[in-house]
Amino acid sequence: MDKEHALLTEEIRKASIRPILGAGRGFYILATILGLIVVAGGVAYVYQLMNGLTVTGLNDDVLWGFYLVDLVAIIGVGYGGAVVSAILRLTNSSWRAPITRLAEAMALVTLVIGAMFAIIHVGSPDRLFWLLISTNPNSPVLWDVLAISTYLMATVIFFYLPLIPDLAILGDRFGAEIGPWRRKLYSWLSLGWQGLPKQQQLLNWASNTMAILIIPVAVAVHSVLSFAFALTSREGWHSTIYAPYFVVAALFSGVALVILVVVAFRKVYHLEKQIGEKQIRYLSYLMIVLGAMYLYFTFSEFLTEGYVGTHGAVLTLETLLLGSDYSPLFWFFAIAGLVVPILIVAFPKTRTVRWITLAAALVVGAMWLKRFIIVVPPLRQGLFGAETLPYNASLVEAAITLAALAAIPLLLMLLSRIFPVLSVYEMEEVLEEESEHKPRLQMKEEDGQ
Amino acid sequence: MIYTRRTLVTLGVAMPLALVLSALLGWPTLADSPSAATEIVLTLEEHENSEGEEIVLASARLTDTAGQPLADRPLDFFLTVDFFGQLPVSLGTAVTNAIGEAALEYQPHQAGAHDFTVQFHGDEHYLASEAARTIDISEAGSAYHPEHIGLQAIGGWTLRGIGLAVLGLWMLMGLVVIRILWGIPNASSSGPR
Repeated sequence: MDKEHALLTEEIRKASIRPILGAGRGFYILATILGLIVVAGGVAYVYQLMNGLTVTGLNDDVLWGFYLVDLVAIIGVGYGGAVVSAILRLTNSSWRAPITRLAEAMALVTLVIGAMFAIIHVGSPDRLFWLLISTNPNSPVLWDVLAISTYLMATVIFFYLPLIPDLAILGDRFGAEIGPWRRKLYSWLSLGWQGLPKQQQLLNWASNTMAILIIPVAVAVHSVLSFAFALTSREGWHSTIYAPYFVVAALFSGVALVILVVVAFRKVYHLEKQIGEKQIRYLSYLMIVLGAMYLYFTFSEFLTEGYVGTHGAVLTLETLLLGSDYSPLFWFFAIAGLVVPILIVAFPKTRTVRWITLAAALVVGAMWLKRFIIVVPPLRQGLFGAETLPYNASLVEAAITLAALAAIPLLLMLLSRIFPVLSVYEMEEVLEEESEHKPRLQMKEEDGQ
Repeated sequence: MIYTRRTLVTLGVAMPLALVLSALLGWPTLADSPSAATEIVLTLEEHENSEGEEIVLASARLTDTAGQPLADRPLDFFLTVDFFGQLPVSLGTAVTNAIGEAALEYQPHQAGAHDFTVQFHGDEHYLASEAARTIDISEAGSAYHPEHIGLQAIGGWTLRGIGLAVLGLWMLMGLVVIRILWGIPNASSSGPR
């Protein structure tokens, strides 16, 4: 190993534990603010438990609201993190190495928070228990629970596997600095990793197996989530395109959130040297490809529904497109969430970290709104031809939703105080590969001369 | 009130004229206003139709107070439902036959008590009347009627297949975890360093 290589390796190791060692005042202030929002949400949930779902804006007509939107949207963004990491691993894309840990951590955190909405949404938590006791295999809700729990388990394993060598490396290198409890935790979780060929072989097999497995599991999760809508006989929901539509929506918003998380950690912990602009640019390319797919799916769905023109479908389209309470939300989603981000990334002048971050933030916000207009407007169509009750989310729902949104960065911040934010082992592997290629390239250049 | 001769003459001419005109043009007159009361007897019976589904046969007999059947009169049938409060939902209208009977079938989708009402709104000869009865439905058919075209067998196997796939996934994840938890520490204690 040459001196330059050793220096770079050391830099990676130091950068990866920077959040563990260097939490400043800003960290604690932000964590306190986010913690207070989470506590407020917790209080709102206890109030809901005591008084029932009547404290929400849900009613006999609109029986799905913010909570279901949160469930679909937050689990969706988690998909982006896990699948992006899995696909990039399987395609052996070396540029992925610095961002996989953050992507996988984001997947884990969002999945845990998103899954909690399944409990919040049913009101009394014991209903979930009865769902498991009195199982109905024909119900998409049962499969939802099964798919989400399978996905959660897969995400935990997928997050843990690349940590094994990292914890061993960092435990050895920074044992004294990381404190006794982390040293113990690292030693326990790294399972005696020494980087032996047999261990590497085993870890590669396990990581690749999980990467292959997590993709269909994630597809299944979002397909089953879509079936909760598409398998009902309700205009605006029962569409054959819904399963792939949900999968692409999840990937689209997920990649956008990965960008936001990566940019935030890069900026706050000065990881610019390890996470280059290249990583953010490549992620933005992925994001706009998925955005273009989502635009195409939306167009395809609207065209077929509108062209056939059954009464309910036309009513749904009119509600979304023309002058109803929901059409500003739809047009905001279409313009700010699809067209503007695509244009931002399409033009080289705006293809900078700052603009890409703006595009990603627009996508995350607009995709939440899109889930809202998927869930609520079709429920406003009275099945008995009568006027339906309007849905106005209550303060309780708003507080719980805000708490969930605050819990995502808070948990990520806390995780970064325990585990390294960079995938050290993978980055060192890439570094080694590059240093092996470098002399060969130099020799070729010399031969050419 | 003092009636002048002129008033009396006017009334004496106008009233018979009005009666003749009303008979010709079909205007309602005092003589036409309904005066006879009616009675309805509602009978509810639970049946099984040819497809083996539970149905309620609601039949009503409309008669005058003397028990004479009233034919060709429309009777409206209602079911009281609990939907944003107790509301009568129209089930339909049937016209009485020669013996004053009108009937319709209703397929209940929920077990329990069902409150039926039948109404005669009255006409030029007879006053309105109504009757109500409750029937307890022990078993109700589904509101959802998929076509039976043989896909049930495929559906059953699909569910089993998906169940097996999920089981397979959990087993594979279990294998990954076991191999990692057992293999990595073992390799470090036995393998070359």
